[in-house]
Order: sequence, then structure tokens, then C-alpha cells
Amino acid sequence: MKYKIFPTLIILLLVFSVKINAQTTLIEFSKKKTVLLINAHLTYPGLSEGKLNNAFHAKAKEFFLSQNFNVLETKIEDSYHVDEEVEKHLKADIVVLQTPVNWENTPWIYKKYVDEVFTSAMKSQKFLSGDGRSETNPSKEYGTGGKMQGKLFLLSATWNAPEESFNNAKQPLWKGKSADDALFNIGANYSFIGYTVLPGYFCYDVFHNTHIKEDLENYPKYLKKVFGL
Amino acid sequence: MTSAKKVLLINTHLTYPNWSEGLLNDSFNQKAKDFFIEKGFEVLETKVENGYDANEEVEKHIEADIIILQTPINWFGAPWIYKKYVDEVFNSGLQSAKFLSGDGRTRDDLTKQYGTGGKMEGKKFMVCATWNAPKASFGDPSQTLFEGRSTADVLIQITSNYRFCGVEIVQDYNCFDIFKDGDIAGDLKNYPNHLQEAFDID
Repeated sequence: MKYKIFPTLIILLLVFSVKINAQTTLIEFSKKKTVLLINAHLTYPGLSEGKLNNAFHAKAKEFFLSQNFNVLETKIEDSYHVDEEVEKHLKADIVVLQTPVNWENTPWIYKKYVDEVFTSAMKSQKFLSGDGRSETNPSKEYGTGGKMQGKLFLLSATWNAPEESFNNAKQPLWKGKSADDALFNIGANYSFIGYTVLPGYFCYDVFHNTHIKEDLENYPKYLKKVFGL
Repeated sequence: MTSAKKVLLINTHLTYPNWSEGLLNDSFNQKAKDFFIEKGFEVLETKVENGYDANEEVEKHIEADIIILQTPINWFGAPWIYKKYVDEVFNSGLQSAKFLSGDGRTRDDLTKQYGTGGKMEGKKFMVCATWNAPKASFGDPSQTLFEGRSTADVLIQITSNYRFCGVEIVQDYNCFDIFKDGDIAGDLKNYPNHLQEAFDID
């Protein structure tokens, strides 16, 4: 028996190493792209454990791995290092933020992350060189001093709000605004530093759980379409 | 004999030593305080950076007829300490059902009336913000960043929480372009006029 297993193992090893070599060559040739997946969920024990946001995050990760991306991840709640986050942003071609909507925006830990990471990268001039205005015409071009041109940002959010509460002037809270309008502040930071901000992906009315399954299933298709992969 | 009206002044400036010490936001907060005292209001105050008790903040909101948020704009929103304040205070007000009884929808129709479960009707909320952004970057579709949006559109992230609880949103007041060409002295001087008009006070 032992004598039979040994040669099989050697053959298997050979096959695998050839495969790995072939993959590495391909990656080097096509310059493997990088995505940064940020998960901003904040745990409220017994009320919001983060499973839904983890599920969307995992879907995105699976998708980008299948598209041969290099995947960087940050789970804000598990802590982070500001300088490392700046470097991750510099490396990534695409940034995807996964967030629950708590009081009409991200959990506070995300704004803390933004204030720390973006302020650090502003001071070091890694994300931007200024606010884009020139001395000669200070009223024009505010928000064009970014250095991150060519990069893409996508927001994926889970809402208690139903889809019908948006884009309808008769609705009392949003008065015709879209979900992207409601979360405009998040993408604005990325636009300000040069990113192209894509229309967000939204899972609505999560506590009534009527279409979570479909929203999860459709997420990879949306990613494929919106990033042109 | 009616009892004095109450205003809650929340100052959410976050100090960055030697860079943003909060003098400008303190000045606007003080202007508002002077104005409301002169008008016979009782003034409640919270400086978020100095700490607070979430349940006490809920009570202050319930007592107040008018709530004003004084904030610098850091990365297109209030400093993070404000969102922490909101998450804590509004969660407390939600759990105790003091701010709202639910999201306003009925079991029969989950598509209607989202955001009408508030218990804070009759109260008014206003934001007074200090911006690096110049005034010209708003309300002009040819501007790259805001693409025609107003300050109220950008501040919807803050005001929508109050609207969700039944509070009426009053026109915001803004001091623009504070590091370059802004008219800080003029904006401070005009602030009481705005308060008088916005809250329709004699």
C-alpha cells in the first residue's frame, strides 16, 4: 500500500506546483487588481449581531476572488491602524463599504474611521493635494484636488427603511430623495479625493425580511455589471 | 402665565490641537445663547466633547422647544463624536419610546408612512455649520463635487433623524470658506437675524 501512495503523492505535488506556477505567471502578466472591502457594522448584542452585513461582505469577497482580485479587508469594529488603512486605499483599485444604516447613516465607528484615515492622508498629502481651488479663481473647482483618480467606490447598505420610502415626493421622511441622496456624505469624501462613486447597492426593510435572499443572490451580478467585469 | 420656552444648544466641535481649537464654533454657539437669553428663553447646553449622559440628553430633548446643532464640517459631516452622540441618545430615546413609537408604518401597508412614528411634534431643529467649502460650490449643477446640491441636501444625514422623530426642520445657517475668503465677521453678525426669522420670534 505504502509504495502505491508515495508515487501518487509525488505526481499530485508536481501537478499542483505546475498549476501554481502557471497562475503566478498569469497574474504578473495581467497585473492583478486589488479590492478593499470595509465592513462598518457595529454590534448591538441581541439586537444587531452583524450577520447580514457579514453575508454581503462574504458575497463580495467570494465574487472578487472569483474574478482573480487581490482582496484586502478591514472590519472596523475589530480595530485598525490608520497608516495601514491609508496604504490599503493607495493599493486598492476598488473600495467597497458594507454598512448597516443606523440613524440614517453609518454607525459612528465608521465616521471615526473616516475622520482618522482621511485626515492622516490629507496631512501626508497621499489622498489629496488640497481642495482643488486655485488662487486665481477660488470660487471654481472646489473638490478637484484629489490624487486617487481612476479608483472606484461602491457603497452597499442594509436599511430598515422600505424601498418605497425613497424616490417619491409624497413620502414624509425622504420627500422624493433617493437612498444615494440620503447617504451622499459617504461618497462625497471619496469624490473629493478623486474617486468615481458608483450607484449604491441597497437591501431595504431588513427587519421584515421579504427579499434579503434575492438581494444577496443578485449582489454578485450587480458587482459584475457596475465594475464592468 | 406661560412658562419660558426652552432651547437646547448642542456644540459638537472636536478639538484638533493647534489646528482647530473650536473658537469659531464657540462664537456661533455664544451668539445663539445671547440671542435666546435676550428673548426670554431658558437655555440648555451640551458640549459633546466634554462628555454627556445619554438618558439626560433624551430628557433635554424632551424639554426643549428648539434644538440647535452647532458643528464644524469635517469630511462632509459632523465630527465623529456627534454620530456617537446620535447613536447613543437616539437609541436610548427609541428603546424608552420617548422619541418615537416606531417607524410609523402599519401592519396593513408596509410601503407607506415610513418615518411618521415620532413623538416630538411641535419641536424645531436647526443646524448651524462652519465649512471649508465655498458658498459657490452649492446650488450650482456645474460644480464638480455637490452637483447642484444645497447645504440642506448635504446635511440631510443629520436632519433626517430629527424629522424621523417628528421634529420640524428649519432652514440651516452656514459660515462658508472659513480658511480662505469667507466673511466670518459678517456671518456672526447676521446670525441673530437668521434665528429671529427662522424661528419666527418677535
